[in-house]
Amino acid sequence: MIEITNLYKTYHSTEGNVEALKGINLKVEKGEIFGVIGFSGAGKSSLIRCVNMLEKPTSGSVVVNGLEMTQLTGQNLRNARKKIGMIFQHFNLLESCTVFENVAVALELSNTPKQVITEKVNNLLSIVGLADKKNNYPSQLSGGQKQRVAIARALANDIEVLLCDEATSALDPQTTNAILDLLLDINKKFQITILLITHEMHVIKKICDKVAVIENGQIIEEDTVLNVFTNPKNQTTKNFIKSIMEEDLPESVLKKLQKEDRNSNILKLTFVGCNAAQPVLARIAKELPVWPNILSGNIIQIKDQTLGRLIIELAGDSNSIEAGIQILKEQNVLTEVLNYD
Amino acid sequence: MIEASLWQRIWLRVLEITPQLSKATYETILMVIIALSIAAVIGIPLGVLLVITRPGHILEKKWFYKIANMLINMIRAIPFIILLFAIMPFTRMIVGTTIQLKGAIVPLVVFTAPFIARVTESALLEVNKGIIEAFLAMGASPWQIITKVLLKETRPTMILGMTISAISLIGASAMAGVVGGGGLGDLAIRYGYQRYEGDVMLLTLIVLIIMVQGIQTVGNSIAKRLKK
Ligand SMILES: Nc1ncnc2c1ncn2[C@@H]1O[C@H](COP(=O)(O)OP(=O)(O)O)[C@@H](O)[C@H]1O
Ligand SMILES: [Mg+2]
Repeated sequence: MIEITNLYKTYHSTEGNVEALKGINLKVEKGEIFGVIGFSGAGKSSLIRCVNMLEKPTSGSVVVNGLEMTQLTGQNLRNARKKIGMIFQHFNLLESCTVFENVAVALELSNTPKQVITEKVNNLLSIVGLADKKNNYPSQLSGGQKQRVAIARALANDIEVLLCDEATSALDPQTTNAILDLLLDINKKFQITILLITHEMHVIKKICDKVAVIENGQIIEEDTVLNVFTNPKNQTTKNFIKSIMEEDLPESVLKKLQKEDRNSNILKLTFVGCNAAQPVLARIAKELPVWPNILSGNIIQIKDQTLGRLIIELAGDSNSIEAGIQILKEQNVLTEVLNYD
Repeated sequence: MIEASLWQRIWLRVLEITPQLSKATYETILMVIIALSIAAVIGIPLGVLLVITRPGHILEKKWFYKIANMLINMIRAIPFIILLFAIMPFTRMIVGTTIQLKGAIVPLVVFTAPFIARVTESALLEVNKGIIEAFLAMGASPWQIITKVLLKETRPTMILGMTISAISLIGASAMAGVVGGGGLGDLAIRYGYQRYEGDVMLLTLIVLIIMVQGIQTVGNSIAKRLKK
């Protein structure tokens, strides 16, 4: 649905050139929710704005729904843009217009007849849950409600793709979740492909199917969200994951362990589904002369899957520990030996 | 007794002046309305162009922006009373005369149109860039962005701007009276200054004050109603 190939974007300014994007390759399948995560200044906005040509790429190709966007101009570009919705961090609504008018204006742009507009806008407003606010002005709405209006406006022209530029970054956590649920909802209901950019891992894990990590204008890691969470390769990716899933043992636990004088290994176990690890641990303890000791546990929801993380101490003689790790690996529990020295 | 006769005299004088005063008021109103309308028709599009041809805006045209910007500054730098005389040949070319209503309208328009262009420009520049981008992303054409975003969002500011323009036009139209354009300014100068009839001047001033107050009040209330 979206295919970005070898995309470069360089900004020229009086203070010099900024290479914001350096050879981005990305493919978003139809119906997918694809997240791009990166720190501030990584090039996220540049990337998403190159998709609908709000920013003209310096070189490279951007194909959306079969159309090479970089080649389009004038009316052709405008027609293509009508099928690509976009929502923003700061909502960008018309302050002088009511909620109804703000959504209706998207349809007026394509000269839709008045009756159709009324019917469609009312329908859209009930989809986003704002039917009772249609005569309010944006200044009378909360941030979350404003973003709902923006979503309704984006949906008005029966879009195929929705671009979200930090759409929840101005919202509190609770409202963020409600808006993410709404995005997930419209993705399922209308099969709308969503490309979103964010600096919050929470957004990625809650609704995305795939994620790409962008740093210094380049994609440094890309995979399904589950794979990235279970097995992150890049340090930046690990840092992002750490922001929502604590990986380290608390200092106090660590100190206590170091005092104990016994042969043991500290293992990090990662598994999909919340019950997967428990029987394996029981089995090891039964079959081998080892004592698993759970030090910390963590379960997070990644879209519709559960990811578990246990940090355990496995005590016993070295051979038995080795055998235990072997069993864990055979049972598809991702096992990593942690070194605390 | 003396009191009564004083009031009586004042009243008689007012009655005596009224026909001229109302004629002059009518002329001033006519001058302001006609000049404001023509100036708006020229100034508002010019102001819109000054915004959208800026670097980075929807119809970037650097040379146009620079030339228009300079031209407007040049005209705005000329005091009206000088402009009035300086463009007389131009005025004659356009309307065939430099006196009467027709003769006054041309310099008033030349004076006010750049003013309105600036008012429009500063109003439109206040529109958040993000809103314009949102509309570009929705596939809006430049014309749609001008009408459905820029001018629509700035209606209250534009109304206030037009109010200021109208008031500055009243002042200028009084000066235009000097060259035979008629109106309240003409009346005040002819009676008040040249014939030392201070009371006429005073009455003229009162009418001018009422006009200015009235326009400002109406402008404010419309702007307030539009503001959300
Ligand atoms: N219009 C611009 N002109 C010059 N430099 C820009 C412009 N927009 C973005 N940049 C620069 O490009 C880099 C990437 O910016 P951006 O895409 O906004 O990153 P992000 O959205 O990830 O914070 C930054 O260094 C930023 O300063
Ligand atoms: Mg950004």
